[in-house]
Amino acid sequence: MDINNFVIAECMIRQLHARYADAVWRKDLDAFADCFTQDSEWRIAGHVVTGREAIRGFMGQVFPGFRRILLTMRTPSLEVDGKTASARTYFTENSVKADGTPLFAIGSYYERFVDEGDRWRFSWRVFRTEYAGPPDQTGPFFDNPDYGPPPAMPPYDTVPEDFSGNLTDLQS
Amino acid sequence: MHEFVAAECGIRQLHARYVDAIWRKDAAAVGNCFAEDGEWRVGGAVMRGREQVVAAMGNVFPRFTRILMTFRTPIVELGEGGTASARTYVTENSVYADGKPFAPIGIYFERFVCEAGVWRFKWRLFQTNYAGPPDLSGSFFEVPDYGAPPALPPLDEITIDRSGSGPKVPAQ
Repeated sequence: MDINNFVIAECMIRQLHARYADAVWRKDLDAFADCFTQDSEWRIAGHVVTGREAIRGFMGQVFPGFRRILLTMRTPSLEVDGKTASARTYFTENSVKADGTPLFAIGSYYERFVDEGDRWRFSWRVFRTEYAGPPDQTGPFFDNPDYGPPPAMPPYDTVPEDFSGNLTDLQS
Repeated sequence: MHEFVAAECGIRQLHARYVDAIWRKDAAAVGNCFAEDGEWRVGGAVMRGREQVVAAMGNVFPRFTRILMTFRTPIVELGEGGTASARTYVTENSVYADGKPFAPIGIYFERFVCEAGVWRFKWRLFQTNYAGPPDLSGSFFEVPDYGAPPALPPLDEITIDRSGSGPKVPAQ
């Protein structure tokens, strides 16, 4: 492993996660879509959304359901191969729905990335909900497959379940 | 060393030193996070210079039992000649001196300078986006959207005391 390249990639992928969280907080669809490659694939809550424009459209349906969404991404467990990489990243979500109901979620992202020169972007990602409910964690925890320790990844055709039911009715 | 990676690491280290100083209520250590002429806009107050920062924090700390700040990854933009700027999402798990919990969400917009290998705050503005208890049942505030990073507020952007616990700046 070239440690210099690894450290640079890890930094840039954390920067990508930070820009992603900023775009979600501000509900900025252009900035959100710019986190994905043109032909990216996003597998989330029973949906397979393919291509940057479709991803933008999908998120455009999500944002109105929330007053605010604060995503906190943990350190990605990373595997780097030149200009591509994959990672497993745990995250929490502190959100308030449009009706004022607070929602706390714990999740994990399995992601593949590409260095497109100006910045790293998501080329493929699976969103898994591990918990969704009140902030005091009295809600349900969900059973997801255990792929073993990193760098193991889910198969490319994985379709994660919509355990929370929050995104089931959206059009992908 | 990759210049961006070194700066991003140095700025995360600065945030960590700042968080430690706040937790320990060490006003001198907070002051040491700032350039000699650093400017801090927070909670309706504008502090100019390290001495004013130290004096103001000496007034803030007695109002809290503890303040735990959590900084996310700063979205960094390198500047000229050992300078940088960033946008960083911050949450706070605090308890007032009277035992009341306080868990705001906010964004720090910051400018930094690297002095003899140590990064310090040159200018920073904190915007409170939420103030209230940890269950998010408190108030969310309308704040200006400056667009995607690296956009920053103007240097004279106003600061508002949303919680009533902002610093009182001693007259010089």
